[in-house]
Amino acid sequence: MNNTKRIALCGMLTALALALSLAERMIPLELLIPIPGIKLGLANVVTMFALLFLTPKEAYSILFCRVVLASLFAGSVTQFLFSLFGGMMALTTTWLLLHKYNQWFSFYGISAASATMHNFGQILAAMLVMQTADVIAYLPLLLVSSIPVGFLTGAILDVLQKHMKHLHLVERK
Amino acid sequence: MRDKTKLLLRWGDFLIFFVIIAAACGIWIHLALLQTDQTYGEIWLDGELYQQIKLGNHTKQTIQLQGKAAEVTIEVDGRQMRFVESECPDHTCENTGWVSRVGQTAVCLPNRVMTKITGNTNDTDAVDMIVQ
Repeated sequence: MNNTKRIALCGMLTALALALSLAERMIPLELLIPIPGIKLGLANVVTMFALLFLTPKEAYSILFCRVVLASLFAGSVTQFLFSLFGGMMALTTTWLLLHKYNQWFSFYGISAASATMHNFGQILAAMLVMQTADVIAYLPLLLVSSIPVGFLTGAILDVLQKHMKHLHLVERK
Repeated sequence: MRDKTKLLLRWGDFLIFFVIIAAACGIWIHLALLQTDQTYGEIWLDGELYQQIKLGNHTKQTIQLQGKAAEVTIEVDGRQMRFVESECPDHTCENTGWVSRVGQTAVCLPNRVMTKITGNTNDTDAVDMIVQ
């Protein structure tokens, strides 16, 4: 795949991730599980997809652009810090675990781990910003919630990559 | 390798789930151990301590205060407290329900009001921000 096509695809994926992260704010998941900041993490599907079909470098760039733009459109500096911390940790985890995909892990486990690390990163950032360990109280429920969330994003990714392979939109690694 | 796509879970997945649940339980138990006999209910307004209430079995109190956007009503009943009413668009604070354990918080972001439970060992000068 030539460079122009790659850049165009990265841009498209960034836009998609941004749209997803803005759209999922409209889903009132907080009513179901009353933890501030809980969300489905649909944008994570895009980052995982980028890791699968593009390079880690491009996946990190897409994540960074998405987080910057998402907090510009709807958010604050603190939210930016939280998302960046969480996103980077989630992406790094995904990247490491993908090496053993299909041998040790499936997409379900990988995205659950990724969601967990995202939560850890967010709480860590919150602890740094607020200079308190109190926010840890949110962690147990957040961690447990990352299993069903991971199942959902894992299922989406599973279906998605099966079909995308046939499209030959991108060369597979 | 990636051609072999089955919907089956691998053993590593169960390891991940196990670690997640174990971590959640560990933190939960750790928080439960922090629980002290005497607890205090704190109300924070815009980053400053508004009121601290000594919580006992017979404490019963309703507190009304003017938040950043609208009026907020907080109910204290025994060793627990909750937001009863808040004129805000999201009502996250009301949905949080009762808080009673040390370290638990309920936050009304639009009104910049936070309630928090502290024990006698906790220092109370740490938090100066409300965050979503």
